Amino acid sequence: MSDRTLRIRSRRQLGRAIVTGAFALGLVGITTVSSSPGSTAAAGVKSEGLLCTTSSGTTAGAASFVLNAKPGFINLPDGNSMQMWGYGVGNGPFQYPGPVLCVNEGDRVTITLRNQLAVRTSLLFLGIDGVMANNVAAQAQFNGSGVLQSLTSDVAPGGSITYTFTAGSPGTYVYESGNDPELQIEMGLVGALIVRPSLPTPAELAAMTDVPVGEQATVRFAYDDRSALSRYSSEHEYLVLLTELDPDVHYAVEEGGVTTSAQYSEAYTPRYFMINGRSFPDTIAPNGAGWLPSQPYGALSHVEPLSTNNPLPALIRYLAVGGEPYPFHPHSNHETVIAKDGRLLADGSLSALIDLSLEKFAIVVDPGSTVDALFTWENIEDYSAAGKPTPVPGPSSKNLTEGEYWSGSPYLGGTGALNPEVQGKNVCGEYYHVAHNHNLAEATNYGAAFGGQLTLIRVDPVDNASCGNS
Amino acid sequence: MNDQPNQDATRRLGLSRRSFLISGGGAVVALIAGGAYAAGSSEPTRGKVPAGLRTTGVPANVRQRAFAVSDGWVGMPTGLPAIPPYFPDTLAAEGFQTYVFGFRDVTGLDRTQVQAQAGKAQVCAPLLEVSVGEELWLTLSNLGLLTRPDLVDSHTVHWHGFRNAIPYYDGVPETSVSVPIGRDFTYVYRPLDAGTYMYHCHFEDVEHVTMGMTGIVFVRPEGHPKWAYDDETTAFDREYAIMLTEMDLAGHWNDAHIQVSDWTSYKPDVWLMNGRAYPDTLQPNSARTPTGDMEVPGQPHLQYQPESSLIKAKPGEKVLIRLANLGFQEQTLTMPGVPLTTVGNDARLLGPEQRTISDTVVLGPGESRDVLLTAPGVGHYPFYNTDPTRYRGIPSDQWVGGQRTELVVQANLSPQPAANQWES
Repeated sequence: MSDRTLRIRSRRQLGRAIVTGAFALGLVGITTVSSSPGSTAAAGVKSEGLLCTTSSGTTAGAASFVLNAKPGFINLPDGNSMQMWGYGVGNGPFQYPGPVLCVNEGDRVTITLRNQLAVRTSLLFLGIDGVMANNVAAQAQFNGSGVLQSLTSDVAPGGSITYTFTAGSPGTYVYESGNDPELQIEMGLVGALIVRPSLPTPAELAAMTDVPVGEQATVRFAYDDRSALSRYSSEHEYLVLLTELDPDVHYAVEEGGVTTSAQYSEAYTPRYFMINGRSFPDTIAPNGAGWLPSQPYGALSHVEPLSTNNPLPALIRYLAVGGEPYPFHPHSNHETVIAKDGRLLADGSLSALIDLSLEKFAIVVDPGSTVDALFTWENIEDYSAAGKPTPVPGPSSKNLTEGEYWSGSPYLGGTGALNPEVQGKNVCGEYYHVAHNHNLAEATNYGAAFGGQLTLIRVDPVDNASCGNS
Repeated sequence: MNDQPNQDATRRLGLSRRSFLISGGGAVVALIAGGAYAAGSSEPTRGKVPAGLRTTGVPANVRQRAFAVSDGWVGMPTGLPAIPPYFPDTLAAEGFQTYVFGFRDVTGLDRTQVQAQAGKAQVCAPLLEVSVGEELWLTLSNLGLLTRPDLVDSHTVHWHGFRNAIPYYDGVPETSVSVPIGRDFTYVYRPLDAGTYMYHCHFEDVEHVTMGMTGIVFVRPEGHPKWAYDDETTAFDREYAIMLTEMDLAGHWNDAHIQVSDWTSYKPDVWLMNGRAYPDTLQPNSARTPTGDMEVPGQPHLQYQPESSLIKAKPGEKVLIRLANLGFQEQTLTMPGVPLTTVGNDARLLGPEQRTISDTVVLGPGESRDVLLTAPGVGHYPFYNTDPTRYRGIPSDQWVGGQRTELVVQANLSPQPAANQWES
């Protein structure tokens, strides 16, 4: 590590970072365990799950957005902070990652990019066809010497450009800067675009005899399939957008006047790894957490066990940018990969699909690509203190090391006294499982374990009032 | 690791450290051998239960295994170029070069014999198997770290990929419990799904995993011990399990020398199959002695790396290779001219439309594959990582220190008694 890095980190840590770090450590657990699906965080925002930014207009069949590219700062869990470039929604503040743009299949989508950065920039929509820029086909830009300037039509500092396209195949897509991706994606110009399917129609849904009446209000389809392949619960839709940061690049931009990757020649060495723009433990803080003003998206998954009353899976939308694939490992159960890059893993016609989905315990998300996966957790053994204790009685607490998310009991809904040194964050006997990058060096905060691209899956006991589920 | 160690601190440590270790290590041994539970406990007195195995109240379908965890030293191939000061490590016992943490199979040993395995960690961890319909009761005893008595780490077993796991048996310290030094804990698994999984310690996972606490666990379908899955198209005559890992030798040296590693600087120096680098991958499996030690005939430097990666078969036999990757890098393996049919992915049977046939198989960290091949004619067929350019090598052999083994097809071979076993 260079002297320069050390010096700048120290200065930063002495500044605002100490305050935010203390907030993060102190409040994460409290806030997390008191949140529940549907409850609200600050500003009336849904505290958990995917947060959509929807059209700023009201015209049916059209979706319009204004994004402002501009600099800002984010906070890291170790107290560091980092200058970024990102997108604000309309005149809203800078945020990282960019807003999750949700549109409907068939929508005429209009996205105006205003460039408040000091460099040219652009929006590249990976996997989206027929994009127009200022009413001509968007295309790569070359300078007078034939050198690639941008992967798509771009805009000078201070200007604006309007991209339009018709939302096609439903699914999850990456949008990112098409200019100097080596620097601009690293700096944070990245986000998610979600296209929701037009099928089934309400009439088709009502006619589906295999969707219980009680589930018709919550069932949602990720794709245009009439079968059960992409069904999920609208109450359990989650985003996992995987990115990484090399702090030296950001210091060079902030302190060294670097504006293009050509001006920076140090070896790239990422130290922070994020889900939805946050590193653990910030990943489990609620959406819109006050101490993360520029990082609005949490990454906690929160479910109840599979049951007849809770038959629908959760949907996890994975996206990645960067240079190398991220092998993401959800503990507790396989996830069923149903789609990649906005294409359902199925063959055949809509009415007779051949299911090519794949159950995976490590989901490799390649740079620039997306994966949609379904998740359920079933209480197969249903161990309980009274009815079915664990087969081998365990040692008492004092002969074990206990974790802060541990309830003190092996049983779902059970609790037990923790060792005095453990500051327990478990409130109602819920289970916590981790979900993390299995390149374990990337499940760290600057090398410190249990950080980085890691989040929690919370499993609540069924209909448990003290967990907020009744 | 690119970060330079604090050379002065290391030198200061050098002489005094050995004496410190002798006394400190001894203290830890004494503490464990005493083995008392915390004062006031009503739990069983230590010393009477051999390695935690239970003799009463054990259903007939239970497989009991007992593992101990500790630290130790492993050997790398002869002639592997030095990386001063990290490799070979000057603290290493005679004949060994690299500091590791690891599991050790102590099933059936008595308490004294178990204790004697402290400081004898092995890499990779013992191969574990269980069938659908059986239960696995796996008792983990933490023997402490002899070279790092200051490091009072707990340990766990995380069965990676176990379906519908509960935290109690998932081995993640932060969401569950972990096993302190001098204590043990029994994990219970009732697997319902055949396939190839893996296990590792999840305590300070990045460190403990790369230090060597990684192994393969696989599940056989009920009633069909020679099928990979409950599907006759996955039938095999012989099976071999290969765990892929890497080691950043500076990270290992740092752990032995009380230095902190920044794991985001992770940069491997050796690439391993079942804990060994080529050409050690071709050496035989070890045999366990009555006291629990492992010996590889003629290869004393491999006594803590007991698992061979050599694949043997007779012409025309179906061979199953179970692959798992617990390194931090994606790897590509190839066996030129021998089609590999991938029938399983992450312990999930692939349907006919999902199977791939290729000489090459790719798997990222935390992934597993089950591949079937039909042994061709008599001969040697290299099975290797397609990127040897990064291997350290020696002047006469660029593959030394890397992931390479062989399929050896020979006319005569006795039936395989267990996974990974072959006669010479």
